[in-house]
Amino acid sequence: MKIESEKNASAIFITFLAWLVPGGGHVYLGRTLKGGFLGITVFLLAVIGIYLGGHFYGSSDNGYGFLSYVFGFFDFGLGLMFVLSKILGYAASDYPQYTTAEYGNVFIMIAGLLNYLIALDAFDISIGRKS
Amino acid sequence: MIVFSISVAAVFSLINRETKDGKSKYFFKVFGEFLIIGFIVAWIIYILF
Repeated sequence: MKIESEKNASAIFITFLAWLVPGGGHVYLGRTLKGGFLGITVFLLAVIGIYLGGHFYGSSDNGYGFLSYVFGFFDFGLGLMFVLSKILGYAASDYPQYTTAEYGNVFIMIAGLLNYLIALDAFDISIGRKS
Repeated sequence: MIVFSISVAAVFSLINRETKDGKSKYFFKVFGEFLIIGFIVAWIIYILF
């Protein structure tokens, strides 16, 4: 019973780590190459999104109504990048003057959603559901 | 669209397939589907709107 709860606590920690740093969960589990590749892919997608003029949605964004919160949830998947964006203020506001701003927003959202999938994959591996 | 398709296909193939062969096959399948469906939808939108 104790071993089971320790395993669950470890799985939750790994999932949290995978969310916080893209690919971090896999690296922690010893899958350095896979984790590194996943992390770099998500990071590149987010950076390209920011470069295209995209921004991280948040509670202060109410231009899209309820959708702002949905988009904010997608962006929240980027973990530390999202938190740092809110604290430091980079890519925090919209750039409607950029014609590619909407593409940038989509890149950032997809990066966040992919990181949720990667975190779930790390969880599955840590509890033994996946080899 | 190509950068987006490559990135998403790479992540999908890495987390959904176990073997090396399965990963590469799945990568090209997802990448191709993204490109083909993207072009079809783009042309439909261009013609309709």
